Amino acid sequence: MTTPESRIAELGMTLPPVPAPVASYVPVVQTGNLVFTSGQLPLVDGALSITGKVGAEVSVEEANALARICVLNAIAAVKAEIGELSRVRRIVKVVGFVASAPDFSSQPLVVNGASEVLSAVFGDKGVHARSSLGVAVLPLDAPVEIELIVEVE
Amino acid sequence: MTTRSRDAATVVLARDSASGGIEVWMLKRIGTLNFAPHAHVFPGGAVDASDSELFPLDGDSLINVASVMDVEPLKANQLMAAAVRETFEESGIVLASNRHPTTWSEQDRQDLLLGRTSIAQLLNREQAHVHSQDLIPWAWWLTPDYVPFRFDTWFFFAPVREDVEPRHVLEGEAVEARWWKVDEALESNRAGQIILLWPTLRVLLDLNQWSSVAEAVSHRPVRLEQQSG
Repeated sequence: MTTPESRIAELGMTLPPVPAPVASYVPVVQTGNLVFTSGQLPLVDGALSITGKVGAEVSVEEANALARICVLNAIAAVKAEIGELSRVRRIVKVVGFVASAPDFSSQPLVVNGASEVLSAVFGDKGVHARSSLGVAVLPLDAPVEIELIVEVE
Repeated sequence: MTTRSRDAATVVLARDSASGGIEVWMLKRIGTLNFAPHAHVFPGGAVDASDSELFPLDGDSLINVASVMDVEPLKANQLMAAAVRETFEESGIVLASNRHPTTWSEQDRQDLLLGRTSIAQLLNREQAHVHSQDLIPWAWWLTPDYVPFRFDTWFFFAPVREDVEPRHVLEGEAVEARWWKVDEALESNRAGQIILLWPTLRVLLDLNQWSSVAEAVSHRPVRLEQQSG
């Protein structure tokens, strides 16, 4: 039986532990059968490997890889809330924020990293609506931040 | 801004020739295409969004295959899904059929072309798996930067059973498609009768060293390196 968890392992990826929030909010809120995550930064063991603006000091390829880390963090947060990822009925919405140099307009190429992971892990349940936004700056000078809305059983 | 290259997969369908040596299946591209008009090519094409879905792979693990291809597993899955999809779209062959007979139809082909389904969904529907021995990473070529259409292309070697016959189904882009003996294709290229892109020629020159598909497979690359051409 393939599960989202086994697909993550097949892809050589691991779900990180969910970091404690840095202020008075929670990583995940479930309301009805929808789960909303807080915005996830590409933190690995609590640190950012790359900082800066995409299109300036950060390349599209680097930012695309960071988007994958963000979405793994988001998936981990969802799993912490619902237990088994096989309870995910579908990924509803992805919102990706890309800290962008003023003339950078390829935000979708960055957020594609997150969409590809969701598609690989959840198959046709991973098909989602999406917004990719360019912003001036993100917390800790992170290049990418991703949030998810997930429908669960 | 430099042109961003697109990831692509190309599949060398191969079988033993009745008269000795290896045969490969090539399409002749029509003359009005922007990229490689008139050229004889192997089936293939660019990765599309549906190729991200993880498809079932038997044999080697995805992580090991990705290591041979020198890419991350997610990208290896995309490239292999694109290889299986393009092979089906352009030749009617389902590479999973070598070990798991499947019944994909013309309707499935149209659905794939229109993005209404994915290779992973079709394989899962039939409970079919692709075996790593049927889709062997073979070469990695990036079109040079002076070419306006840049493709970062992984070539796969795909031995097909004698009773699996490809069909010329690619309307619009190819005028003909057939099996070529490797030495016959090289001879026709020398005689100026067919046009081969440099990577295609290099694959054929490699295969010309071996007398059978099994011998070629035994010399499969351990790790691919990107070449320009």
